Amino acid sequence: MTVAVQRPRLSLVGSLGRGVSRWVPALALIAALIALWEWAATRGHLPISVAAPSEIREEFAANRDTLWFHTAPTMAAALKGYLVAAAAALGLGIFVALRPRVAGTVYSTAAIVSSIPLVALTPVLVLWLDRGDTVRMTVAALAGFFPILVGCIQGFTSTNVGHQELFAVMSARGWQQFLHLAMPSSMPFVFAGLKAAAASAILGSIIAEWSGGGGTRGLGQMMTNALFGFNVPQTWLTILTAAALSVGAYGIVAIIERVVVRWDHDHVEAGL
Amino acid sequence: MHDDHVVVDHVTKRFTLKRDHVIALDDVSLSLGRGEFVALIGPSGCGKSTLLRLLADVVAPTNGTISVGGRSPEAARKDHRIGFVFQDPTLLPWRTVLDNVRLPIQIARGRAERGASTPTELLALVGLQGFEQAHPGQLSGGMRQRVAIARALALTPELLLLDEPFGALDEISRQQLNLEMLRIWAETGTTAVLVTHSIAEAVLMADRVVVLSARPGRITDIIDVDLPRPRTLEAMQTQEFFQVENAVRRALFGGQAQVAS
Repeated sequence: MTVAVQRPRLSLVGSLGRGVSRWVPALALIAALIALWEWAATRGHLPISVAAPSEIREEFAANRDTLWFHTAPTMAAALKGYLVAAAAALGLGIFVALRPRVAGTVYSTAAIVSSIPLVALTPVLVLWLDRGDTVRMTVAALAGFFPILVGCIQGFTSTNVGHQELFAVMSARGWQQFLHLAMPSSMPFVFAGLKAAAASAILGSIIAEWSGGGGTRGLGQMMTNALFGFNVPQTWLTILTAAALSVGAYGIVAIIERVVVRWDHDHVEAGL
Repeated sequence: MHDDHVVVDHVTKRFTLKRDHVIALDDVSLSLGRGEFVALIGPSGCGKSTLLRLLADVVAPTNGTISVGGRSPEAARKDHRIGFVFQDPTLLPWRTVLDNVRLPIQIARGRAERGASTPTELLALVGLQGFEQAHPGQLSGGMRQRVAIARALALTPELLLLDEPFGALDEISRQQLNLEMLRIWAETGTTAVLVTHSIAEAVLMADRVVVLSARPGRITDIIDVDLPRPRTLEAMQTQEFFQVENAVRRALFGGQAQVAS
């Protein structure tokens, strides 16, 4: 009998540690690029619209409270919108999985609606929903909805033919097949959608703020104010903050995925 | 001779692919006694896997009828009385080995007779004690197929269908599993149908070897295997074994020679 290699159960700390070591080369590259950027900016090799990293750091130190004052509502709106999008997309995805005949219709309708550029749609939404928090949340939800729906539909319909036959022989009911087969095997696809949507929701929230969504508080507002006041370091600070929020949102969902999906997806493809 | 546990009566199965009709099985009749082990052998496209899927009610016949224990295959399937071992193990990688074996019990939700053995005992029966909490990804191909066998036995099947279950394995694992399968079959007394490409495997396992021809799939010969049980690997080296093997070989390849002449 072949002796199986007993793979140690991945602890969260262990897998994160492995994640960190994987990121070391990337972080080193980013550090090198920042150093190059700093060097080029202080030597005057860059246009005046580009702030030096040290200036951005000083701006951050001086205006940390202001930055948080504007970032917190953006994050809150993005999170609320993201949760609404996730609930709606998962619900619709489950509906499609149990009623495969409507899959095509739902998919194409969602594709058409989501192909409307959010930058174009947002001003209209601001007119409809006014400049409150709702519009910011709505745009964040719209930005996140489609990637999650695509992940759900792809995931729920991607079950292996062998597994389908197995469930047919076992006389599994539709909901049992969904619960025990479609849902678990869809997880990698659903999480791919959830990760992409987390970054999109941050972006959606900021786009809404550019059109005045969320009143006077928001990272988007801070960004436009800095831009029109020609405050170059502050503009760059808001850009970097937006990027950090997107990466962070993606990373949080990725960590949740590592906890939830502990099996290797390749084995499903191999017809396990 | 048989008390006719499974009866296939003039069954034809036609598949329609775009506008082409493919006759997978043409007027096939066969009956199996209770507790009998029958092997189906034949060239690719002879419909042996289709016949297995008809018995499992995964596909329906175009013409003819099938009965399993006096009722339709659909009724037998809905009673959770059909065990199926596929060519691939088809385990669920997110479940542990033990939870994979438990799956049919969970699906039946108490509406089916439990197996004589618990899932843990079944895993011991297929030689996997100590691996209950492992995940399929941690096992070798042979071990995964053992899990699939244990799963097929979780709910006392009255009909065990084996679709080239050891086809993807190496010769050593394969013969080991053949013998284990025979031991389990003898213990459970279930009726078994094995689809195989291997003449030696068919003769080693079966009471009767059903030989099919391809396009259209028809039964060309049925060869009785009058070898004593329990069968062993030593028995495979006897003159009697070779004689039955050669009879199957003649039925498989002699048929083509007759068509050619």
